[in-house]
Amino acid sequence: MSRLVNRPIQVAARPDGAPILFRYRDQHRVSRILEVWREAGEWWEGKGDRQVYRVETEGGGVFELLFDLGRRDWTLTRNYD
Amino acid sequence: MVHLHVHSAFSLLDGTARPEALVGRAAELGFTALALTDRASVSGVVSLHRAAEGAGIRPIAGAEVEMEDGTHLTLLATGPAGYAGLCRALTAAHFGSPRSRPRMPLSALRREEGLIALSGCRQGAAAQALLARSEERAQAALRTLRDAFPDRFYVEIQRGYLPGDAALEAGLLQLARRLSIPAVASCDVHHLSREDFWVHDLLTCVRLGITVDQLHPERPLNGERYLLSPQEMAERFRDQPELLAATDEVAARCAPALSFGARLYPAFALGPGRTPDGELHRLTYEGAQRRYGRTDGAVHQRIAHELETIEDLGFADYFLLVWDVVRFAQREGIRFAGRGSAADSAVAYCLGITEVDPIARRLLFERFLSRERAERPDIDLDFDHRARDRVAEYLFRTYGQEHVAGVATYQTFQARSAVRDLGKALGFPEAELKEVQGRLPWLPADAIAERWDLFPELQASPIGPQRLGLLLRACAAVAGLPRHLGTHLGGLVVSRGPLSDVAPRQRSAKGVAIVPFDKVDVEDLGLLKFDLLSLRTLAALDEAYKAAPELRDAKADQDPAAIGIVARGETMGLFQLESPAQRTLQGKMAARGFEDIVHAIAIIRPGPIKGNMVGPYLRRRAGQEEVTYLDERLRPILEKTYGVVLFQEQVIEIATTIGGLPPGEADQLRRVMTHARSTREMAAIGERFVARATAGGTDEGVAREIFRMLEGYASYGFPEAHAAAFAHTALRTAQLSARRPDALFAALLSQQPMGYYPPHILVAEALRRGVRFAPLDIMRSDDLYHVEGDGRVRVGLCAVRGLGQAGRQAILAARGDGPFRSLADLAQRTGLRAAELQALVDAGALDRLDRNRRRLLWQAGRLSQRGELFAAEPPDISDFPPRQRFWRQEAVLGLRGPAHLMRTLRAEMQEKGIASVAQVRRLRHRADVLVAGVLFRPHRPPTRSGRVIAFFMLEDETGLLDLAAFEEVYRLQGDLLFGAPPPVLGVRGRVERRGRGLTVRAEELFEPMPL
Repeated sequence: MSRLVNRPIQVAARPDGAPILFRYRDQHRVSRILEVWREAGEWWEGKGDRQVYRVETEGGGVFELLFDLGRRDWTLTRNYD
Repeated sequence: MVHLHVHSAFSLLDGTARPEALVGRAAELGFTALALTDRASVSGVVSLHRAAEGAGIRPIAGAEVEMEDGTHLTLLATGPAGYAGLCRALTAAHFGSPRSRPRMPLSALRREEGLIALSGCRQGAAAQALLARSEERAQAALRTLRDAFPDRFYVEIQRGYLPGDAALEAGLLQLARRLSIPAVASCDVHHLSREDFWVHDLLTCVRLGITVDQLHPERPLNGERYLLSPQEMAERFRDQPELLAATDEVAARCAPALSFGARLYPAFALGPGRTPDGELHRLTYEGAQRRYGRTDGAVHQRIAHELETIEDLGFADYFLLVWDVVRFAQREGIRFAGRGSAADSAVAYCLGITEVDPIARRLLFERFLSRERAERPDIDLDFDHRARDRVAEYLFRTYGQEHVAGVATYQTFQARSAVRDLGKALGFPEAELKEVQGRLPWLPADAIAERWDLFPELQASPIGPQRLGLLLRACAAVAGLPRHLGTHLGGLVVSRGPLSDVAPRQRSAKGVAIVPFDKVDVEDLGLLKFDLLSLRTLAALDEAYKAAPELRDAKADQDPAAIGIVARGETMGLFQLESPAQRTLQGKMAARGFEDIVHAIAIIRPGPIKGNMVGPYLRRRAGQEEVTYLDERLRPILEKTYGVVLFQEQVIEIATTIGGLPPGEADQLRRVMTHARSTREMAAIGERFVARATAGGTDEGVAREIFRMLEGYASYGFPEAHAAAFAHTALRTAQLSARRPDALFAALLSQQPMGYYPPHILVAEALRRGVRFAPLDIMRSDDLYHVEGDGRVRVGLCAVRGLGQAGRQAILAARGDGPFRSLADLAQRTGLRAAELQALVDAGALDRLDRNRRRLLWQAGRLSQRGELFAAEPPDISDFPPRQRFWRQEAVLGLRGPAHLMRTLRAEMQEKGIASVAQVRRLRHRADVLVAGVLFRPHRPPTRSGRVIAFFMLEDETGLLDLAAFEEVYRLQGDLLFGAPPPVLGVRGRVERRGRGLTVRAEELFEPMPL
C-alpha cells in the first residue's frame, strides 16, 4: 500500500543528484535507491522535467522523492507502508 | 555502437524527425550505421538510403511491427533479400488486417530468413509478460521467437528511465541467459534530441485524439528516447558494455537493403525473335508515315536521334508499354490526351501518345529525355475521368496484381492542418481554431508566425499571436513532417518482378493496392511509374460531341470561330482559359491564332508572372515596345515569344547557346534553378552559368543579364510541348463554345464539379450566350443534361441534389414501361425513397403529374411517415407562392446564386448610387465607380515583389465583375475578402480598361447594407 504525500521537503543529495538524507517529520537516511525514473513536466505550462527516486531508508521505510530539475527543489510524493 | 531501433516521422504522428535528419545527426555524432524501424512501415527507407549514401552511414532497413496478439517486435533486414522478406511480410500484415491497424502473423515471418528480430520495447511479448509478472509466459514468448528466427533473434534491453525498468531488465536478461539468446541495447528513438520531446508528446496526443491535459498509457513519460550520442549510450549502459558491443554484431550482419540505379521495369511481351528496340523502331516509322506522309529528311533525322537515345538508355519497353495503354484506350473508345514534356518527343507523336508535332514546332527532345540526365522519362496521360479506372484495371490485368500498384503521397503538415490538429491537442476551443484556420492562407506550417503581419485577416483574428505562441512554435516544429499517407491521383507503378521485392503493398482508403512510397521514392526504387490522370474536360468533350457530332473531327486549331471567341475574352467554360487571370489576359491580347493560345496558357503561370514577363510580352506583341535581345544569339530562341522567356525549352536552349552546355546538362541547370531553395544556391548556379558563358566568349555583363532573365523565370513554367498539348484541348472547347454552346454547356453542367465556376454561373453564361434551357421532366430528362431536337438543353436528373445514381437509373429503367401516371405510380415502379421523391418534386421534375408541388410533397411525406401509397385523397392544399417555389427549385438543383438576392436589393442599391455589374461594364477607362455584389473566389497569386495583390469577383443579377485590391487596400481591409466577408460586398474604385478587358481597381471595400 502507498499513500500520496506531496509535501516539499529538504534533501541532502550526492553530486550525481541521488538523495542521501531527507526530513519528513523525522530525519531519514537513505540506505538504498530502489528505482530511478524521469518524468516530463507539463511542458505546455512551461514546467520542466522531474527525476523520481524510490528509496529505502535505514528505518525500513520506502518513499518516493521527486526532484524538479527546473525549479531544483524536492517533494516527497509517496510513502509506502 | 549502433542505434538499432529508431522511429522517424514515418511512424506517423509518433516520430518527429525525417530520416534525413536522423542520418545527419547520426553522422555528426560519429555513428557509422543507423537502422530505421518505423511502425509497420518502410516509407522512410528510400530517404534513409539516399541520405546515408552521402553521409558515410550504413543504412539498415527495418520496421517495428505489431503482432497478431498486439505485442511489438523489431525487425531488421540483413540485406536486399531480407528487405524483400520484410516487404512480403508487411504486405501480408496489411492485407490480412483492418486498414488502420496492420497486424503481423508470425507465420509470415517464419519463412523470411533474411530478417533479424529484436524482442521489442515494453510492448514486446516478453516485456509485456514480465510487466504482468508472468515469467512463464515471458519465457514461452522468447522461446517461440527464438525458434521462429533461429540465430537471428535478440533480446532488446532499453533503459528509458521508466518506473520498473530495473526489474524488467533483470527479468529479460535472466531469461535471455536461460534460453541462450543474445541481448542488445537499444533506445527506441522517437526524436532527435531531448529538447524535441514536447513535439513527440504533442503528436502522440494528436494520434490518440486527446489533449495535452489528458492522461493516456500510450503517452511517453519522458524525453529519454532520443538519438543518444555514443558517449551517452556508453554512459547509460556503462555496467553492461557487452550489450553495446552486441549492437555492432547485429549491425555487421546487416547490409544496405537498396541499391539505387536498379531497374525493375516490366518487359513488354513480344513474340519470339522480336526485340523491344526493333518493335519500337517499326511502330515509330509506321506512325511517322501516317503523321507526316514520309519518313525521310528532317523526319528521319529527328526520329533516328530520338530512337537512338531511347534505345541507348534502355527505355524502348517503356514506350511500348505506354503505346499499349494508348492502344487499349483507342480500342475502347476512351478519350485521352498526352500531356507534359512527352509532347517534345516525335516518337511519342508517331506512336499516337501525343498530338503535338514536335518537329513542326521545333521542340527540344532533351527537355523530355536526355543522355546526361538519364532519368526515367515521364509520360503523363489524361483520360476521361469516367474511364481512368478501367485503364488502370487493364494494367493490373495485363501485368498481374503482384506487379502493379498505386503510388502514395506523403501528406505533410501545412499551416491549416497543423493549426487544426495541434491546436486541438493543445486544448484551444474548436470555434477559435476554426476561425483562425478559415483565415489562414495556404502556407507552410513554419511560415505562419513570420508572415502573420502580412495578412490582415489574421490580424483581425480573435486569437492574437501571443496566445498562439506555443501553437505557432508547434506548427513550425512539425512543418513538412508527413501526417498521413494519401494516394497519388494518377500514379501507378508496374514492375518486372513481384513488387514485394522492393515495396510492400497496402490498401488505400478507396481499397486500391498502393505502395507506401511517393513518386520520387518509387523512381529511386527503380520502379516504372505511369501517370494515368483523370480529366473531366475529356468526359465533357466526349458528351458534347454526342450532341454535336459534326465537330468531332473538325480542326479546332484553325477554326476562326474558336480563336475569335477566345479573342473576345468569352472564355468561361473553356479548358485552361477560363480563370479570371486568363479572361483578363484574353481581353488584352485578342488572340489571332493557335500560337497565341499556346502562349496564353504558358504565360499565366507563377514563373512568367513572378518574372514580370506578362506586361512586356503584351506590349511587344502589340507593337508598343521594341523587341530587343541581350545577345543576337537569343533572337532565334525567343523570337516567337517576342524576346520573352515563356517556355522551359527556351531556358534550356539559352543555357545551351550562351552557357555552352550540352542540352541534357542545360536541363539539369533548369531543374536546379527551379528547385533552388535559397538565394545563395541560386547565386552559385549563376556563377557557374556566367563562367561557362564567358569562357565561350560572351561578355560577362551580358551573361549576368541573361542569367537574371532566366532567374526571373526560374519558378514554375510550362514546357512549350505541354502548353501546346493543352492548347489543342482548349481550342476544342472553344470551338464547341463558339459553334455549339448548347452542346458544350450541357456537357459541362453534366460533369460537375469541374472547372473554375459553379453551375449557377455556367447557366448564367450559357443564357447570355443564347442557350435555352428546358426544365427538368421526369419523362424527358436523361441522366445528364442533353440537347433536344428543338435545340433546348434539357436539365438532367444528375442535377438533382439528393437523388443518387441508383435512383436515377431506376427512373430511366421504369420509364421504358410507359409514362408515370402519379407520384404513387412513380414510387411503386422505381422504389425511390421519400427524400428522393421530395427532391424531384422541388426540382420541378414532377410538374407534369401535378403542378401543385406542395400537394406532391405532402404525398411524398405521407409515404415516409406511414409507408402507405396514398389510399387517401390528398387534401386541398394551395401551392407555394412563386418566389418560394423558385427558391426551393434553385436550391435542389444547385443553381442558387446571388442573382436573386441582388435583384431584391437593387432598388435600395440604386438609391445609394451603387451600380450594377452591367452598368459598370459600360463605363469608360478610369471612371470612378461604386459597385456591390456577392464575393466570389478571392485569391492572392504569387507576385515577383512578394507584395500581395488580391483578385476577386463580384456577382450580381447582371453578371460577374473582375476586381483587384492592391497591397495598401488589402492591408487595411483584406479581412473583408478573406476573413469575414459580408453577404454583399461594396467596392469603391476605378475602372481600368486594357484592350477588351475590364477590371475595377478597388480603393475601398465596404459593407453596403446589413442583411
